[in-house]
Amino acid sequence: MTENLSFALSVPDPIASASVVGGSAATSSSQLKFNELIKAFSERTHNIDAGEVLFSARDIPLHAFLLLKGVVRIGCKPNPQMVGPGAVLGLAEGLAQTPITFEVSAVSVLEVAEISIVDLERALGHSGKVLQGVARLAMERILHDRAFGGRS
Amino acid sequence: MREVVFKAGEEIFNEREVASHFYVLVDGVVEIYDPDTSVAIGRITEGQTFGEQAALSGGVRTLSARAIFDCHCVEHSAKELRELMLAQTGETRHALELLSLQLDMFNALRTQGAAL
Repeated sequence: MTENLSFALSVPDPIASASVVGGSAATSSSQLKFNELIKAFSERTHNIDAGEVLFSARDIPLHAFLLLKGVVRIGCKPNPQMVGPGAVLGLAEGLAQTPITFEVSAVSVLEVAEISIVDLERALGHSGKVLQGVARLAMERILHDRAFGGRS
Repeated sequence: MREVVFKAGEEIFNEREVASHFYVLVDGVVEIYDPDTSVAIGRITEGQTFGEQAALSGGVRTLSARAIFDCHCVEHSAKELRELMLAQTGETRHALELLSLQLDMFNALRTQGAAL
């Protein structure tokens, strides 16, 4: 199974279109992560019907979703965001036991991997000091520093 | 690991470059931005790490970084981080990759001006 990453659907996706360096495809770091995760979770997927709500605002997630196929709407009118394959939903919020601040719903039929927050927490607990620091930084940038990114 | 200095305005790394290093900022201010839209995603201040999310998995970077003021950084090889990743169990590696991918998604949305 191969899928191009397209989690930001409203502009042409620079991530999915790998550039070519030195005669070989230079795949983005995001696409590499997605490729690994597709392999890891392809046997553990299920479908979600269009219109179904994955998270309501103020939910504290018990599971995170990795979107493999389909389109999800994040937030409500007037400025909802559409995201596609590669989107990860509810993970940082679930790990931090922090409520989600927006509704997440299926625009089309979705294929998702649904992963227990407890299992992910346990796995991160075994990663050692350096990688736990990297994980903590990612969480802080997702949750607490909304004006800040860090994708690099 | 080595110490590096970047002059104000100097590019530290560019989108689509291979992520061969990550940095700890000792002194100065760094801006992370999308060179395609010129949207600034955020600023790195003293003591913070940057460039590590792409370094985790390898591949090419999805944003650029430049020094806003003269910057003193400690540069680390991405290889060290990837070796640490490869030494983990699959479950641990995948948890880290998921979290890093969620950050990538949020940043992609932020470059479009989304407030989440």
